Amino acid sequence: MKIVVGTNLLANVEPEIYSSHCAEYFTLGRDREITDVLQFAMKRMTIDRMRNEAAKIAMAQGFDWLVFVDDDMILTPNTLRALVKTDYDILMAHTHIRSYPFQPMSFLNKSTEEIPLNLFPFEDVLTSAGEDGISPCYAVGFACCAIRVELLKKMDPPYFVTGPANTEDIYFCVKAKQEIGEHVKIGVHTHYPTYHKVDTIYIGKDNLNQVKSFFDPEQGILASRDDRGTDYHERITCLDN
Amino acid sequence: MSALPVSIIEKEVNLKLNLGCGVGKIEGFINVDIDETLKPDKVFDIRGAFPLEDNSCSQVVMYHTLEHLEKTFWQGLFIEVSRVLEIGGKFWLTFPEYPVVWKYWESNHRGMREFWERCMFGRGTTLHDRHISVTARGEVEKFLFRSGFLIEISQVEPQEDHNSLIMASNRKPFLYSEVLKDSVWGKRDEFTRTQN
Repeated sequence: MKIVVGTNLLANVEPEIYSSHCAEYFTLGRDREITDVLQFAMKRMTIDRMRNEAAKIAMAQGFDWLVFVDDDMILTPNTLRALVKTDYDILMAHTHIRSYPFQPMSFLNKSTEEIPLNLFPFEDVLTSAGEDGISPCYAVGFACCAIRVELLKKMDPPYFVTGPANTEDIYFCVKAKQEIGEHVKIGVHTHYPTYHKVDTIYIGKDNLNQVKSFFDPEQGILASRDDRGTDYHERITCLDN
Repeated sequence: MSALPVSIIEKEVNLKLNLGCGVGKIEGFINVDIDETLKPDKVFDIRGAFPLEDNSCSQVVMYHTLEHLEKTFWQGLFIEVSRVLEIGGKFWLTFPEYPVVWKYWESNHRGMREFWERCMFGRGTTLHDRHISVTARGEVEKFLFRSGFLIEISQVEPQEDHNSLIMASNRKPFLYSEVLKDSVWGKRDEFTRTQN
């Protein structure tokens, strides 16, 4: 099995992220089934272009899996290995979007006759997982995911396109479903959560609720600070005691 | 020393004033604001003379109000507060510490750039809900000292490290030469009562 790992590098990579990714590559290298790992990282390339270039290399050089890992993700050990060992065509490690309200980066299609494509964040991704820990869904983000190269061969380029109302990852998932068929298996591996960098903290399923309440516009730090009334006054003046 | 002749609305003593209260009313205080839509207890402009007698207040608080006033009005405001406060009366102020807020905005501290921007410029929910002066502890202390106050507490606001807190006591009769003498002989720090 041969794997291309594409990473989009913006500027600097945090030391803890670098360590996490290095550990993953070591794990991939120790797996006897995995015979080659190519790391593809170009500085300051647009995300579309990086993904499309990585896809070209994967197809041209006969790789089996195209894996994407963003440079702001800490991975649970063995994540990348787990993503390429299933029968899914597109499989993402459980990731949250890095801005409030930090929704899961996975989507269901609640389509109707009038609206054939109607994507909603997959809020119940953790409780919908099967025994294997995978929750099937319609589309996923590519912050940490594996794509079977066989899928790319059945599709027409460009594969990843950012539009005015869509990101390149959702575009690819929808394109795969439409060009190949609804039988394309897309899912989220909930046994392998990732931790997404938000300024100086990393958000994942373990601290999601805490971070959400911190940023809550009604109750959290971003809430309006109108009430400098009696309670506030008592808190301030107790310093004089 | 009396204020400019204005009609006195309160002839009591031991009053407590909350200047620029906004929607944050404090129980037991006369909550003052320029905006009558916020339904304060009294409506008057704190940039001018206060309709209060000398030494009629035991406590004055100004929580996150100073940054809403032009700096040209600070000295006059503090002198007015000094006039209405009894000797030893306490003046509490809290305000954003702009050097910290700027640093947090620049570094997108905690991913809250929008919040830090609001700290700098105000929310803009009403006409007066805008910040038009830079506030920092050093700056405010200087104005307070020149108005006859002794700084008793000057620190970071509890639980909000981007804000500052000052408590000053009114030390009339204020003779600058007295303070200078102490400072020269090293008995007191120029601004506070801390021993050197």
